[in-house]
Amino acid sequence: MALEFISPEGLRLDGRRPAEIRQLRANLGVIDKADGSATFEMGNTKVIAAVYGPHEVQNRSQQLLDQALVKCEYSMANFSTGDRRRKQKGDRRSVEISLVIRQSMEAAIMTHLLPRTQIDIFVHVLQADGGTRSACINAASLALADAGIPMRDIVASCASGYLNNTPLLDLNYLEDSGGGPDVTIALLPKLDKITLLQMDAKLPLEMFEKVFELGNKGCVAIANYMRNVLLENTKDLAFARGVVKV
Amino acid sequence: MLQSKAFMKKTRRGQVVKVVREHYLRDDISCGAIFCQSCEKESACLSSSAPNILIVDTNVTLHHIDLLENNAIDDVVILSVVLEEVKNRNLSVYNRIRALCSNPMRRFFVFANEHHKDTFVKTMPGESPNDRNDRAIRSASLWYQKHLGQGPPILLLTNDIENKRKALQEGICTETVQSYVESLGRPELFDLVAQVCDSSLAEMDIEDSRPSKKKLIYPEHRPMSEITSGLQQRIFHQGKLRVNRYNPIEAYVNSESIDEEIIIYGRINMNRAFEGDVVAVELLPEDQWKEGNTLKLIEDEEDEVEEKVGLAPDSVDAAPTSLQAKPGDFGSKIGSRTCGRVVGIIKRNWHSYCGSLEPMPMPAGVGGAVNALFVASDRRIPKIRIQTRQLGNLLDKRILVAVDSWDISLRYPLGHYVKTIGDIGDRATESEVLMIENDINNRPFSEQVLACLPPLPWSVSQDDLKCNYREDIRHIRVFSVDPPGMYQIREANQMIEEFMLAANISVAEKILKHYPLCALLRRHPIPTPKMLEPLIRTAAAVGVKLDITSSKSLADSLDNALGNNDPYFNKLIRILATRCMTQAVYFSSGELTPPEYYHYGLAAALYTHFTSPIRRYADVIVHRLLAAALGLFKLPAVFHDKVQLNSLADNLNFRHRNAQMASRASVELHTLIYFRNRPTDAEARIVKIRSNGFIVFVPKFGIEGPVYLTPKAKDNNGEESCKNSADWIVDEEQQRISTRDGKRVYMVLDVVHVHIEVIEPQPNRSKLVLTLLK
Amino acid sequence: MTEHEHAASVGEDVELEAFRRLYPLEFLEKFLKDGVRPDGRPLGRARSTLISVGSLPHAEGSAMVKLGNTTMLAGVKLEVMTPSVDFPDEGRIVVDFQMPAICSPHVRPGRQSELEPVVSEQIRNALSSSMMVDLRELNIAPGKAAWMAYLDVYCLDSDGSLLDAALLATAAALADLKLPEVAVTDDGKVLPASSDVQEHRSLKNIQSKRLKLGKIPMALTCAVHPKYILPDPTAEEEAILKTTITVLTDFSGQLFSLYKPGGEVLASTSTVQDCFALAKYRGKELQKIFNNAVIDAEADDAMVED
Repeated sequence: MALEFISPEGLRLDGRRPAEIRQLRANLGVIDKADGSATFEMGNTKVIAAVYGPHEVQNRSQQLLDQALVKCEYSMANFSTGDRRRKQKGDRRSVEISLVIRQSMEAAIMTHLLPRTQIDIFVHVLQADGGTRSACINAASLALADAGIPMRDIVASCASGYLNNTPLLDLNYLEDSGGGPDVTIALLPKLDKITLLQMDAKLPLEMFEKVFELGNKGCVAIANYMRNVLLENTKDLAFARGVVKV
Repeated sequence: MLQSKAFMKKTRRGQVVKVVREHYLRDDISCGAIFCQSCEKESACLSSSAPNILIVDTNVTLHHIDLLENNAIDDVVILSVVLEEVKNRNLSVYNRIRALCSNPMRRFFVFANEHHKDTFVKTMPGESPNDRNDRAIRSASLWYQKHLGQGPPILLLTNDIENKRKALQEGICTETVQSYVESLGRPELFDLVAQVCDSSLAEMDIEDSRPSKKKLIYPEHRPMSEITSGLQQRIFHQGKLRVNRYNPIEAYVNSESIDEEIIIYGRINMNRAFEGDVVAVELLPEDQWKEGNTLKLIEDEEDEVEEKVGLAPDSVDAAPTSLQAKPGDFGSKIGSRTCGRVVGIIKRNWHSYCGSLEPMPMPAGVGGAVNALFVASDRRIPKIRIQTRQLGNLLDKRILVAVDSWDISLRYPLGHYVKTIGDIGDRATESEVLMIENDINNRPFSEQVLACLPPLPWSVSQDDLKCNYREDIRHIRVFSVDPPGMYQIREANQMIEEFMLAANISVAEKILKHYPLCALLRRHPIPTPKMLEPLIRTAAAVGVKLDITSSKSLADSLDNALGNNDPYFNKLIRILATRCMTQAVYFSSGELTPPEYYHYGLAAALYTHFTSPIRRYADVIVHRLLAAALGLFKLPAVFHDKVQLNSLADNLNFRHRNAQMASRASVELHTLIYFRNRPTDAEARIVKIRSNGFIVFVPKFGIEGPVYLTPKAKDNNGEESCKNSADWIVDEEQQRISTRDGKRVYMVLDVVHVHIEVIEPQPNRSKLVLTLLK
Repeated sequence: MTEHEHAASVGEDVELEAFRRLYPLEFLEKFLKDGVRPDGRPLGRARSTLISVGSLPHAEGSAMVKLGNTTMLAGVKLEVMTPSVDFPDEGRIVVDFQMPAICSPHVRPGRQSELEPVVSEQIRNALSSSMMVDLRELNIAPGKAAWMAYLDVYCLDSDGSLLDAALLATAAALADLKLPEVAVTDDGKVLPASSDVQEHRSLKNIQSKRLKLGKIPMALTCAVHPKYILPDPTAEEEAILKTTITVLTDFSGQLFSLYKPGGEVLASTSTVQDCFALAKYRGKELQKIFNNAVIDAEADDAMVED
């Protein structure tokens, strides 16, 4: 019997309703040596991102005269998945995700303000339970903000899918393995611009619209959460520096 | 709120890994009461006028689903913890309870207690899953009690003594199902209540009712721990119990741990195991293997073995007598086979059975509960004792009965009445009986299944035409011819058949080449010389020599078996040959070696079913394999899963066999109805000689059955009298039976004339009888 | 603070930072003379140490260790292996120390830090010489199945004394490791404990358990200045002083090994003895922190189970 991803009572296997995001948690400034860093958790998916830069371009031949060079590396801890990972660094999937993160971030960073510099974004997955791509983008976005890199907008990402004839938001690993389509969106919420849209598996167009709309709403909700985290963090910093009096 | 659940799981690579899942608790889960002030009411159905709001535990749901389905029971809360347990333990009950919950005419509400922040409970250290779930049920009951304070009282139905005690302690109103049904004052509901062993019933079957002298009929089952360690040390063997369809006091167990089939003789050794139960078996000491007559000592008259007149068998699988050794038959040497006894039941295969009540006089007085014995139409099932208050209504009906328990002090298991199918002998009733008996689902397709289809009316769309893996061949004239049965040797001479065979074979080759480990093929095992022995013996008796070295040589020698001026002789030999063989079966190629793929009946190295995807599920599977082999679609995951693929093949074979059984049973039913008012004389052929007569085959009607030369009688000891049969001399080698004076001689394949009629030895028990016309 | 004062303090910050970069040794010595370290701790003390276990629910055992800013995350994943013929009742522990790019500006993506294999090897040696885990504890069915424990330690923030922190994370993750309840068939196939008896013959259940631990190894890295010995140096201190001595002991102070990987200062016997004394003191301190963390984890056990 096929797995019942949504009970007739409208609850998913983990107790969420179809349009609900998992519990979100984020922390800024978690790596002392980095210029900016953040952890981002979506349920049991947990990633850590560090930003180094802007600094001098390490390989002079890559230097860009009119804008910053953005580099990104994605990696996964061996214990991040149920079955121990055996893949080496630089496998195809890692390269692909590194590229996706970099391109999503480049759309937001005001690279023209930082010519001849390099910005390194490193993302490391500590626990994977579905939606790692989105969590990486969210963590990287917060780490960039933490590093004070000028940005047009934050980038918020969320995945949505379609199982048991129902659009579902923020799939966990079990749902992700359910064989249905999976749409990952990254949004610049203030500008209301999509910077990333990925989909696997086939989906009829009218269904796609519903799934896409749901994913978009997820991104907006996540963006609001991220904004609050940044705001709280700024308040804390200001307090620590003595800018704000108690 | 967030909880996490951790458990171990086996991966495809065979590793055991830790799996962690999130578990969210919510505060927006509705209680389902229409009169509730605080909860959302969209799906609410529990009414304020109900005398009680019932909460049922897992076992009550599992065992009393028949009661729950009755309209008298409503306003029931089904907890998600109960649903989950029911789903794991019995999928069919799960589907039934789900159907109740989604039925707008009923008031059953599913409460997601496992995701409600106030009713979720965590496992405590050392707590078993069962105890934890019982606690979850009590926690939800208590919550309902508080939440719906002013509404109808909440009543927890549980038959678990410990759970009931704890519930009372915690201040939850609780009752057993029995006492609750009694309190309703509706006697007709009583029949639906599952029976557990109680002393008043036990007394019925035991001679001495003094408690200290309670006679135990069956040995105790061993505790599970002992069984597990016994299996490990190979003292016990585990396998599915298969009861002989034609001799229900004989059963077989095939176990991986022992090469031979273990035979279980008698009800004591079967020790309350049912057909299909997974049992643990202990071998009997070898000296007891030889006691061929233990049977008579253990069993009593009620289990007598009787052969009936029925449709002629078309393969070994359907033949009652050809293979299995039987007491009283020639050449049966029980001693040569491994015997055992059941020491424990690992998994029950209990479900509902069709049948009727054993005729009994109506007791004096009215309305009281009466104990009656139920006899299943499936002879493999023992009689079942039920309690009923509607005996008068049920005696002439086919009814459905479910088994509940079987105590060691009771000769028969206890069960309860589920529903009435109809009048005995009625064509529609009996047809439904044989559908149920063969587990053939003739309910309409579920909504989920229908949702897989495009909406009606359907027509070819532009998308369909654009599809690159489909071709529009509507301009070509296409017709289809239903393929005839493929089981007879050398019947495929016509062209259509040849095309079909060629298509099937070439598809088999293609999918095997691409998927050597998971191609679904069909094989027909080569009959062993032992299986063909009765055929050779019969042929030799009439002077025909058969060459069985290959299917080709056998076919050739069958072609040459012409008999003297007997046009029917050749056909008869062929029929006898066919029934020596087993049926063809589906299998997954990864399970066997290439020589075993052979299809004997078609003399093909490879074969599969491909041509009829609208009639046979196997063809659908093969189509998917072929589509994947051609690169049109991805290979579905099931093909990578050995266990699932094997169970699929097993199920195909099981369903196929059941369908054939049902179709045979249906023909038998109609044959019986045909002869009911139409006693007929017909020509018959002797196919087997027996000690007290012979088996005849009536070509005109396709039926087969025993003809007794000596009247069947019983002496004082209940032993079948053999005095008369001593007047007949049986020559096994020559397959002939004759009187001492040699005046009357019958040989195998001889033509005799028989009288066919329907008799009714007991009311509602009509049967077909063949008698010899002198 | 007034606007003016605030501006002044920011100005001081800048000046201090310049001095620190241009004259690092002098900067450091200025502090040491006053009996404190640049991060404010007394000369002979280690940084504040935090151990939390069980932070990775996916792993069978896990620990996060913070030694000042230095952060290590260790996780154990189990797999079933066939034991070697020579040691039929022993499992294996495979330790891997890794420094992903996030942890430091000096780690270049795609290029392995030379520290990775060195620290991995040191942890392996420490485990074997302390005999912290009797590998027979990992036995499932002798000769047929045993646990292979993959222990990966990731450095998330690299700020000196990496071996100290990594070894502590290793030990804590092993203390947190819980072998799951499994069932074994006679031919040594290992299945989840919940497996159906009906499908598999002769299953034997093996209870879930934690490992019995022997002596727990610890490391104390000391940066050596001709006049001072600085236990648990930060990355900055390590970089300035260039000479370190690492002492490996158990919590009770029993010595397993010593490392002194080159450096400018030649260590005298008395220096080594001083380091050893510091390690002994540190052992007592760590034992308390370690035990508290692990006991907390065991108390949580019951709650995590489901």
